[in-house]
Amino acid sequence: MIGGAVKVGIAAIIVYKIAEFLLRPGADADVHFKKHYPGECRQVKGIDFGSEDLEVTKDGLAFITSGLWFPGAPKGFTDMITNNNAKGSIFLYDFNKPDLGARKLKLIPSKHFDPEIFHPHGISLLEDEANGEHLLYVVSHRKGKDDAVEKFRYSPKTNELIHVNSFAGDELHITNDLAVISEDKFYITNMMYFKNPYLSIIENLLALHVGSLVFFNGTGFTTAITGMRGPNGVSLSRDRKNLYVNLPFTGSMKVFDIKADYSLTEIQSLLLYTGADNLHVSQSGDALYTGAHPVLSKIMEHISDPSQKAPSSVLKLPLNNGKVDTEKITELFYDHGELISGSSVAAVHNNQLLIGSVIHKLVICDANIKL
Amino acid sequence: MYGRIASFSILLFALQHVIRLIYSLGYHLHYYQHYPGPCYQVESIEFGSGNFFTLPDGTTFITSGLSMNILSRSYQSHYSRNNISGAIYCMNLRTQVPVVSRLAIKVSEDTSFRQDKFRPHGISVWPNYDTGIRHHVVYVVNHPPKEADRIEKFVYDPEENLLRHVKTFTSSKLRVVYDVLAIGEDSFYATNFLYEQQSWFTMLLELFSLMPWSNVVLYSESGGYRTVVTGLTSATGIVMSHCGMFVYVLMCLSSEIRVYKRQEDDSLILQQYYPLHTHPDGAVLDPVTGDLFVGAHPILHQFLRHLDKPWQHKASSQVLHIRVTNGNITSVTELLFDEGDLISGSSAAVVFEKKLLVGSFIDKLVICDVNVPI
Repeated sequence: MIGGAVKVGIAAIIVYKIAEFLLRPGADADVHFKKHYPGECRQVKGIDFGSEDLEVTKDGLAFITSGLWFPGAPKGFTDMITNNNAKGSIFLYDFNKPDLGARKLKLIPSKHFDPEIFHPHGISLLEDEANGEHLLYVVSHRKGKDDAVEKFRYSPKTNELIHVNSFAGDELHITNDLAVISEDKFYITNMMYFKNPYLSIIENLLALHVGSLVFFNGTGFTTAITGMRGPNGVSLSRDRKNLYVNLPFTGSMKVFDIKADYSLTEIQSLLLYTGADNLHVSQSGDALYTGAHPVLSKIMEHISDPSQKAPSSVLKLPLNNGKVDTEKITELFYDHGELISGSSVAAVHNNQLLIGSVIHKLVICDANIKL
Repeated sequence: MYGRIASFSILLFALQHVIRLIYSLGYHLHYYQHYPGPCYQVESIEFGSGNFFTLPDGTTFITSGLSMNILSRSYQSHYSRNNISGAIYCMNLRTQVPVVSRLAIKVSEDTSFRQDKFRPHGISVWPNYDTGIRHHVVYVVNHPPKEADRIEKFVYDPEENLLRHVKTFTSSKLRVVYDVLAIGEDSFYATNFLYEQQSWFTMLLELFSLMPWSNVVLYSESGGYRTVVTGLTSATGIVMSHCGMFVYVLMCLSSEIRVYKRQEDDSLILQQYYPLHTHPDGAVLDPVTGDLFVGAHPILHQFLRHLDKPWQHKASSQVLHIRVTNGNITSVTELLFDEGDLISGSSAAVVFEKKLLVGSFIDKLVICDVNVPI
């Protein structure tokens, strides 16, 4: 009888140890990464509640989404937004006027736009080089309603964003980011399928490949790619011939050729070994910059409780004939989370690096190395 | 029944040890390359720049042509096939494009020192600025093949650009020596990487069983050889702060750096240990700021494969900048990460006037501009 008890005891210890090892918190998952910066880095004044996605014009105007909320967001996350009255907004940072910091842009609503339920996520830009009246397309999680893409026109004289149109449809589930190819034609990622909170828990637990990439042709939505696991950031090459999608849950990225009819063919699937979030193409089109989450469990903890730091990393992905040149990928920035937690996007302008985060700050780095 | 429990426990213990070892080999690790600025390989160094010492005026002594008795037969045949020979180079980091010059070694007649068996490793310089002529004392760890490791003492002759061999230090307390730290003209600390030194098999067994038989030994004229720190595993680099108060010891397999406070009688008291989560090889003290620069092997299985067949396997290289304030380590920044294409198996590094010098076990010597904040 004692022998049996001892056997059970030993078995219990083994099971406990294995479970402890497998279920350990990400507390030490990033210990072997070391910080490094491309130059002097500092937080940009004006942004305290996220800079999840951004786009930079040729002249150095950066449009940044802030105050993210999404259906199914953990309580700690939503508390931070509501307790600090952080409304969903779009900020402007001018690389040529850094002293102004990041300024919130006034949103001029139209008939179908309610700024109270506006929660911006991904953003994409159509530059107006002649008059500077850039067209901004922003993914919005509308509280109480479905996700939609809000279209704004930037007025440089008044520094306002005038709402132009809203695009919604049944094909949009839980969206994340979009990439505009021409006026009112864009690709948008459905990072999750189920809107019901319980079903989305199952969707995540079982890692169901039910995410998708949807195309809007000006009048209606069509599904371009299905069967993806949590597609996140999406971006186009400068020549509009290729499309890039980040898949942070699988630490990978996919590259597509865009055909004349806007259909997509996958030409490359690569492992990035990190949770890459949003993408931004370089000014010349020779590389992509991405804000990444080196340890997924840490960014999850950070989203549940924004006071917990999460490491940040920025990668440069050089492009060659549309594909990513994996041999030449470099890391431009690594921070343990003190300067910026949960980096989600990065862009380079005039050898300065602008880094955005999910629910933390906005950081700018001067660099003496080639970015 | 108790016999069965005992044997099962021993089995579990062995299993968890193997798992820990496999984990430390780093098969699961992935890093990204990045450099502090443009880099190039220094011509004329092809087979190692294992360790170096930099003086405040930029004079740097570099050891090359390293070999150790623990290394495999294929390493030794790589060594002889390429006619590699142990040598010491000198370089002035102050010049715009630093060049290395090989130092000739002059021996006295009645010495046991053999040039063809010279395999230099750790190096430390006791500067001598008397009478304006820089006759620095240079201590070098030597691993002559199939013999006991020893420490060689040279005197630098800057006018004739050579090293005059003065003395060989041997002792049963010097086991598999890794690095040396000069604390006077005739005194030094040395790290024993392993205790076993005779058979290749027992050395590897000690290394992978993580037996805490590695230590730090002190030699002084008055006291002879004395063990000052015991119970270490795989101690590698050893350096001292400018003021002589703090001694830093790197531990390779245990992935950490330890700071010791030096006492009046040269004994060492542990002050701080800082986990590095990488495998540090050699450290060089920044002659200006007192910070440390470390050459490390971030992915151990790559380095082990590189040590077996250097011509076939590259190994990732990593340079760390360790900031020190009053003998306290405050932060660690990664200055360089290379997948082995620029340099394999980085074993030492130093930054002098915005130039980063990176040395390797048996590969190249690299110089980078440092355009990132230091």
